[in-house]
Amino acid sequence: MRGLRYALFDLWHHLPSSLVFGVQFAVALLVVCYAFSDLFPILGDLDTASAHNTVHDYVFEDSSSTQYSGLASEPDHATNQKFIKLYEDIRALNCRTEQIVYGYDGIHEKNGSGHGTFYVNVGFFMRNGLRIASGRKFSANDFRGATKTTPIIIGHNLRDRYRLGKTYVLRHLGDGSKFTAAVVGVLPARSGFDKTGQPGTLTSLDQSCIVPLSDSLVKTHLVDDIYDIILNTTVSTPNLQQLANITTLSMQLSLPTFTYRDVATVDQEYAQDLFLDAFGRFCFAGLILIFACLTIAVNMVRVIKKEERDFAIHLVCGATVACLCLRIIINLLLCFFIVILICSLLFGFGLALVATTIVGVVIVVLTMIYPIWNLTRLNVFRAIGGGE
Amino acid sequence: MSAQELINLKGVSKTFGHDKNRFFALSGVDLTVQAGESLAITGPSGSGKSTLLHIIGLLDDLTYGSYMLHGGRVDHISGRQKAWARNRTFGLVVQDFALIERYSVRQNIEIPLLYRKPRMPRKARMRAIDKVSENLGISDKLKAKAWELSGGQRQRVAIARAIVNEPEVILADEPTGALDTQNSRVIMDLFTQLVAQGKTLVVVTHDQSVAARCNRVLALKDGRLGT
Ligand SMILES: Nc1ncnc2c1ncn2[C@@H]1O[C@H](COP(=O)(O)OP(=O)(O)OP(=O)(O)O)[C@@H](O)[C@H]1O
Ligand SMILES: [Mg+2]
Repeated sequence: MRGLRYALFDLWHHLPSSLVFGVQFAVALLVVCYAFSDLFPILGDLDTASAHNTVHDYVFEDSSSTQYSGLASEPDHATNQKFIKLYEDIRALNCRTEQIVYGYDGIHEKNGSGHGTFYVNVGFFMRNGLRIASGRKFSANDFRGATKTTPIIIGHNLRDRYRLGKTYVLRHLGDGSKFTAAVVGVLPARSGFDKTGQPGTLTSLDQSCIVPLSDSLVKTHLVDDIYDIILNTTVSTPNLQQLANITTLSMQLSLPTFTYRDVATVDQEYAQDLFLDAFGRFCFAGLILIFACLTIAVNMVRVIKKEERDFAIHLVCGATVACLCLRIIINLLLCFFIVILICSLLFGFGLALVATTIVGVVIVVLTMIYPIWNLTRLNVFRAIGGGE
Repeated sequence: MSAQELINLKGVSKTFGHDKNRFFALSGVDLTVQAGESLAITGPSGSGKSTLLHIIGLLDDLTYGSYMLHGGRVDHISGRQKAWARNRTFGLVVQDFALIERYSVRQNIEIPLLYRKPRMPRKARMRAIDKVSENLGISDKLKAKAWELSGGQRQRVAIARAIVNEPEVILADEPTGALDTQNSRVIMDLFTQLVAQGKTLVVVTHDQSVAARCNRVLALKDGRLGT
């Protein structure tokens, strides 16, 4: 591989500019990894969200949560029982419930320290305008309880205790049941939500675990009055006839009646929310990539300009422009892969690394267009000092 | 056309610039070079000597006219074929010797061998370099970097690079331009020796003593050939 030998030799010669390339690549790589880390699962979920629509036709939501304010503060045992009865009746009707259940009960670790746990439904993040500091939001799949491992999102203060991407076995304080949880996201500091609709009553999520409320979880846990408050009950049902049945049921139980929304709309809103999130990151990463491309291209033109004489000498000796371009590209790619190697040794990027490698190769090829075009127009005699 | 005829330029013109700025560096040059002859091209600065050498060496395209090499048109062949001809047919020595400073002498001489087709094995390349450097008396300098060399040594390295591939034609652009008479003579001795071995030499020079040692002298003036 004489090309490789010369490329290595040139790499050594161009060490300063190679380092500049390296740093530019590394920064772009880091930013892209950061920005795209959750894009891939989100894209996957957009697909499954549409499959979801065919199963449920309507979602019933309470018209306003203030109706519950009395209920929210001091729910008694009887009320809880009514909810449970309602839930069971709904299940008997073969419907699905999606509820936001604010449990004061906690999840704790083996060493015994407990944290507030919030079981939330699909609209929780959207309704409360919550963002994610790192990782991802819940996907539509998470609410279906599709995986054995429960995805959880943790509050800012827990981020050192539970690591993003790691899996933990947690125990429920109420019934002692164990479940495996994987941390998929971390909330920004001072995240919270308004439970009662009254000003100044923000509930902090900094110390909390957020768990998606899936059907199976509801089934497991909604058997006892461990829930102090049940708000925002959302029921989805296959048809309008079921709505009538449920409304009758809830009236019999003297619970608030429900309004309904098309489940497709709810899912669409959720998907849109996730998409905008991803889109923002995508734009951010795109800008950084464009910036990196531009600086690398400028650097490249500068280096090639400096090396014009050498290129000209090679041309005189029988090189074709194509061979020279190949050499430059091998040189750049070598630089790039050395950077990737070092980065992955340091950070262990995994899948994101593969993705950014592809992005990196695209950068290299794109930034080469102008310098190569320049090279094809090189005036050999001028470059080697002839033709004065 | 004689069998000996190596290079044949007919009505060759070269222009630079466009429209109002259009400028003829060469206009209507007819030139025939026989194999094995030595030809000197002289002329005032800016008369188009380098441009002519440039065109002969297939480093630039001519604007009008035709160029036959070995009796075949070469003015419209592909870049790859031109590169191949530059590699095997021509050996070029430029005014300031155009060495790559950071390469060693051996690496500098090796460049044309690297682009040779079919590929030359490393051992054969090394043998060729050893042979040519011995002829030129630079064997002991093969490991040195180009920037460590004296003017006369650089010149010899440049010549070694031009002849290592055993080209038929040696093109030299003011090879003695920056040298004292002593060194100039050494260089011309070398060239004369190569011509005696059957190489063809085209040398651009201002130096009358260099021109005098060639079979034929042509004068260029404002892009036109005289005698
Ligand atoms: N790439 C170019 N673009 C524009 N003009 C050029 C170019 N190359 C050469 N010329 C012009 O063509 C003319 C001939 O140039 P050339 O280099 O052949 O002269 P020369 O005879 O070699 O001169 P010297 O003895 O000084 O080396 C000059 O006027 C020069 O300015
Ligand atoms: Mg000149």
